[in-house]
Amino acid sequence: MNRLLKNILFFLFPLLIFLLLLLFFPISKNDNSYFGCIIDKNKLINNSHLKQSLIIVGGSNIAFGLDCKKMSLLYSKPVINYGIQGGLGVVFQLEYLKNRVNKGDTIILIPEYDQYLGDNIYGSGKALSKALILSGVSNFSLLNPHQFRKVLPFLFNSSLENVKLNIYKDLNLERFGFNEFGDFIAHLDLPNRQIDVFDKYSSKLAFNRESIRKIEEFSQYFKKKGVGFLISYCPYPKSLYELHQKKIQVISLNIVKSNLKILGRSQDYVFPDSLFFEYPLHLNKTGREIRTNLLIKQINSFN
Amino acid sequence: MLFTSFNFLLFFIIVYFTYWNVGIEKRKILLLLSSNIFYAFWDYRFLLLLNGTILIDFISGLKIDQYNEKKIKEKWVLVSIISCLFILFIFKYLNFFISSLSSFWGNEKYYFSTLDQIVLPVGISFYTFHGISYVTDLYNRKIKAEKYFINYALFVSYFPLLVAGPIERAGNLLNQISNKIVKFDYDNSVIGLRLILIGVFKKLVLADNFANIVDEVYEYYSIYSGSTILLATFIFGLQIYFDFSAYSNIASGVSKLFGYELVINFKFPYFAKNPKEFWSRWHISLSSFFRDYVYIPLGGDKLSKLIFIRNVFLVFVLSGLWHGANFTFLVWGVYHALMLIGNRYTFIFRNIEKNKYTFFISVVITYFLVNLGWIFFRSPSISTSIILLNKIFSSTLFSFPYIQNGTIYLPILVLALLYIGVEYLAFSKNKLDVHELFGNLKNGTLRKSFYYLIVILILGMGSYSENSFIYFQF
Repeated sequence: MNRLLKNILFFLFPLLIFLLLLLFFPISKNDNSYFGCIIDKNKLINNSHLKQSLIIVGGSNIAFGLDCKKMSLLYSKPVINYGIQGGLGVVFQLEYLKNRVNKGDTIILIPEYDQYLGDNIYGSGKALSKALILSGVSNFSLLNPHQFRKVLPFLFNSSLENVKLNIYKDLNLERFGFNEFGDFIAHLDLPNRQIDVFDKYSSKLAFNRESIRKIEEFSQYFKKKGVGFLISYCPYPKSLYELHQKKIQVISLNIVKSNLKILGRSQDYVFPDSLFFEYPLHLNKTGREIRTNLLIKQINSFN
Repeated sequence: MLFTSFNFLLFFIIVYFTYWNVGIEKRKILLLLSSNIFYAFWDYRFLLLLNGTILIDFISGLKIDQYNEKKIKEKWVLVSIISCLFILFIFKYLNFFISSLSSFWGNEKYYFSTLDQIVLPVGISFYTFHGISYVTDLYNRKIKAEKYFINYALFVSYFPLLVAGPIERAGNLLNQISNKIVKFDYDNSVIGLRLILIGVFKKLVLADNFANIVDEVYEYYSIYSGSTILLATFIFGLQIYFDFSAYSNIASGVSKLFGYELVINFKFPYFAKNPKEFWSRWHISLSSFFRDYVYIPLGGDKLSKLIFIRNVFLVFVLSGLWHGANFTFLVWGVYHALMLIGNRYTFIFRNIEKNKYTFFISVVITYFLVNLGWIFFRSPSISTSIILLNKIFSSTLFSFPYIQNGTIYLPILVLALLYIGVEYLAFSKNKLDVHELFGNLKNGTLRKSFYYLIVILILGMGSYSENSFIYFQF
């Protein structure tokens, strides 16, 4: 028995050292994939001190579907499009913001409906591990034990990817598709791509009240810090909305019943299918313009 | 609690170290207790059902042994078998039976919505079959009745095989539990760890990654071409093999670490030269169960051609339905029955396999036929299977297969082919499993390097979305 244990430990020790070395490998600035935008968006957040910024947080529905440049010019203050990917989960994004926002800043949270289902609000292990590697291993402290368990199996893969990117040039270009406000703009002049099967975007998970409770917790925290905190709804194609109406109604009813300050109603953000680019949450140029104007109108009427 | 989860790793470490540090007399109690905890993690409500079944079969066993009169023995065999089949019927087939009946009559008056709420207890098809084989073997005087409840309960509920087999026989596992004085064996433990490593690799790297492709194509088949559906079907053939054989490897490896040997469940099935050989290599514990308890008692192939055909149909219809209460499994069973009958009475396999140069062709034909059968197995309904077959045998079969984001799985396909190459090496050297090849490597550094490579592949390319093993649903 002792011999077996000794051999297992001798086998695992170099492996552990190897994994740690990988984990602490310098962050590659070479990641030009869509996800690489997290490096630039975090930089925008870190450089926005004392400017009464407006930060819009959520997944790709924000990256693709909001014109923060226009909003920034309109309000004459920094407006940051902190929309990355729904898979990341807004809990991680909001934890990241906790020590980086200041009194006078405002956060508008617009999660995808999926984030209210199951434990999606805590993100997927794959997206979180990628985000951790790209934003620095020190951000491990932002994870709760549940997220940590999700991340663990993917860490090696993401670290290896990071090492690869330190050596090879990344041939992806998506990261260059963002403007200086964090808006994804590369798709604006492209024709719509067909959304193949709408049914694909139906989650089997159920609404989780915990997601609203968690957002309320963040709202309280930011309120105490003097940071404004509002919540709104993501854009949704009409045909998919009809398919998921019941689920969305449960979600929006729970949001309405919460202590959160809300901008608009879920129905306001139901748009014709033709306004979406290639995915049910990604608006095209026209859709983005309509949605941005609607949000501006709702912010103005709220103030 | 999946074998590939952190929960299981933690559970296993605790049980393993406690097991080897308590007295010999307490080890079986510990394993029995751990098996119940393991099962409770799936669904604690069914612990009563599991232990109730065990108790009935145990008492029946004692009674069969106690009496000499054939009629009394038969009565107790029936008590045990009927109780096993009854709970199997209620939990697995009642819903299917009533809904089929109501749709057959074209009205819903036979259908009760509460039936939808009947949950299938995990592993029910496996542990009820343990009970059936035990009392039947007792009745046929192949074994002696187990006198100690703990031994029998552990035989049925032993956690490495509780939820997805292999279906053990009392002659093997119960015999070990009752009579073997388990001592720690270093070499056996190393083999156990090796089996676990290979199993985890097959599950996380190969099976679970392939699952992503297969799920995509089978769910949204309307947008895919015949060639893509055919490719996904072949990939499903690999997925189900890697998935189930991985489970068997891990179960066997874990069991070795506790000092017990399980039966071999897979012997390179895709290198079979004909459908008959396929079934002597695929899910061996199930096919041998049906052979010994249904096919042979009904006369096998000894009586007449017609009886042989009847027996083959019966065995494969039952085998199909064992996999699930759905007409798709029934058709899959009939398809294999037809293949076996064709195997015996047509020239195709009889002639082709005799020529050593045509070995390759016979393997390819068998592989192709078996894989076509997976369409019924994987489809949610017969109508979907027909649509898929129509698509496959259409002009789109000649288009280039395309799966959304499919190229990211190319390295997995390459790895799978490499693994099959290693399997072929083991097969050609008459090994029982790939792990024996590693055992034969004399160079320790080379052996260790392979282990490191497998671990790195698991960590780097594994799919960690908590996909349960396919055979859990049966």
